[in-house]
Amino acid sequence: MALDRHKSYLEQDYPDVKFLLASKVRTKIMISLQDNSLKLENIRYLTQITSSTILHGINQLIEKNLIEKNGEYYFLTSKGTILSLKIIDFLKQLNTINSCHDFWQTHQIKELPHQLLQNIEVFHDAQLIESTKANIGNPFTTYLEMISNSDKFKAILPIFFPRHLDAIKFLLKNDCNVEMIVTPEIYQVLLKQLGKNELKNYIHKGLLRLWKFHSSLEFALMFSKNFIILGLFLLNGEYDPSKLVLTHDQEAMVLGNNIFNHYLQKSEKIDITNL
Amino acid sequence: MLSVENILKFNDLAHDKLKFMVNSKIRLNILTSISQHPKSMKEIKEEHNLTFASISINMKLLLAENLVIKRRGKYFISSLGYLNLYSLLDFFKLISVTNKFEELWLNHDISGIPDDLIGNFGLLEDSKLVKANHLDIYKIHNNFLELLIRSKEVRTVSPISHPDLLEVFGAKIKSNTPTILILTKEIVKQVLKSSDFNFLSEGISNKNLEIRLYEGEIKVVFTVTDKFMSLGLFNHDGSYDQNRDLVSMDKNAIQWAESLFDYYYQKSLNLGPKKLAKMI
Repeated sequence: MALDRHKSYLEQDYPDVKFLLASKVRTKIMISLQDNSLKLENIRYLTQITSSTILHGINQLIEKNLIEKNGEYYFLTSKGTILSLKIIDFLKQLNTINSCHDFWQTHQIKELPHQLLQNIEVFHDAQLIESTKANIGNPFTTYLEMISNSDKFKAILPIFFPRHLDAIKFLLKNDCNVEMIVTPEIYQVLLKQLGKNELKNYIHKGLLRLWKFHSSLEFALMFSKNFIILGLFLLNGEYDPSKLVLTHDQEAMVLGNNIFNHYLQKSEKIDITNL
Repeated sequence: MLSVENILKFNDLAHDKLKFMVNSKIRLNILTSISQHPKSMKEIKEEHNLTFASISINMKLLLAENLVIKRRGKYFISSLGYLNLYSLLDFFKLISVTNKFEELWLNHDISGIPDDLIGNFGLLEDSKLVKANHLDIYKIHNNFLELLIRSKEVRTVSPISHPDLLEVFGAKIKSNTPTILILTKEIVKQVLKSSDFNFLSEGISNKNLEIRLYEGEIKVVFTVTDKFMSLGLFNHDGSYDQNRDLVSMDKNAIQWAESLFDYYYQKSLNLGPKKLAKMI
């Protein structure tokens, strides 16, 4: 996001944002009307707020063209629907940030793709897989378990380690489709470890599709049809192998695909001719 | 999908943090100011013309909430601060777009757009609301045709038809421009009635044309090409608003419209020549 634009948003739209978000009553009324038009008593039941307080909030929202009344029923206008959906997204985002508070705080965030930052709420049901004293490799073993059952696997990888290569080989030998976007450094490792001929063979068979991304990648994203895993770098610049975020949320998978396609467009395709 | 009850619980949980973020413009200005580069108190003071005391009080609160980190006299935004600020500014962006195009949303039906894409309306910030006026009642139509002619790839979702449009789409197909049309049954029949079947069939065989049937009601009219996106809405009374069109050549808006197109593409059926022939 361009900083100059931030400043103009703050100047122009601060009163509206404060009006919507600083009042628990107004946000609750908007949220309660999201799915259906409701009578005052229904809103009171859902929000547990007194009728007089609700009515005061409703009148303020009607004045702003966010709510209308038809008979005894209150409903959101199209503008109200747009803002209410965004309030819900925003609350989900705050909840996602707070639920893995320590994870986000101790990792590099600024260079994450905008699509991920904009839609971070898709991780609201995510599990944080951490190393334990009993199993220091817990994040990696969990990841290996997840990918071993996949028939399609996609990854954006700024890091690599030998056991990871074994897992990818295993997938390819089992006719799993593997698509990877890697940094030039990782590409060299892959070429050296797997061997040019083997790599060529998998590409030729259509099992492996490979792209080289020529800038730095500040995150690792691995996903299949039913899971997505995010790994991040620590604030000191080192990759953190001790923590991974895992979710099975379908929206997260869609997001994963969008991010993958975004990076793919900026990457160099590796095929048999330029291997 | 979360229930309203669960979302209300989220609201209760997040409200104090939310209030802390939005209740002070000074705190938001501080966070925005250090979001790209760390700064000293003096630099922030000069940038925002604030008193040292007001910055100092709010900075202490931001430090206590772990949204800011102090190192060697400079203030850095923390990862947590950045995430919170990013989400909030995305909210600001949506408010800005909603206010800017208020007359498009008010009294118009937006139920043809899925919720997740409504939440990303912020991506339409660089769009322009093209409006017809009494001096040029065909302004929207002509502007649209002009942009369409320049496009090298066309995807349209529409429950309405217009003779001029059919002609332009025909010309696009003739010039080998890949074209995908997602239409309602009524409009597919209209296209078949107004066009030469062999021409359509040839376009499909040559892979320049794909006609798809959307079985349900389509409550939005839009086109996305390599050059632009255009979005029109229905009034609440069910009539199509021919006087307003949201148009953008910005890549974010085009990407947004591509996602909307994918939504309809997944829910529509491909009509090959045989299936089309049966609908004549």
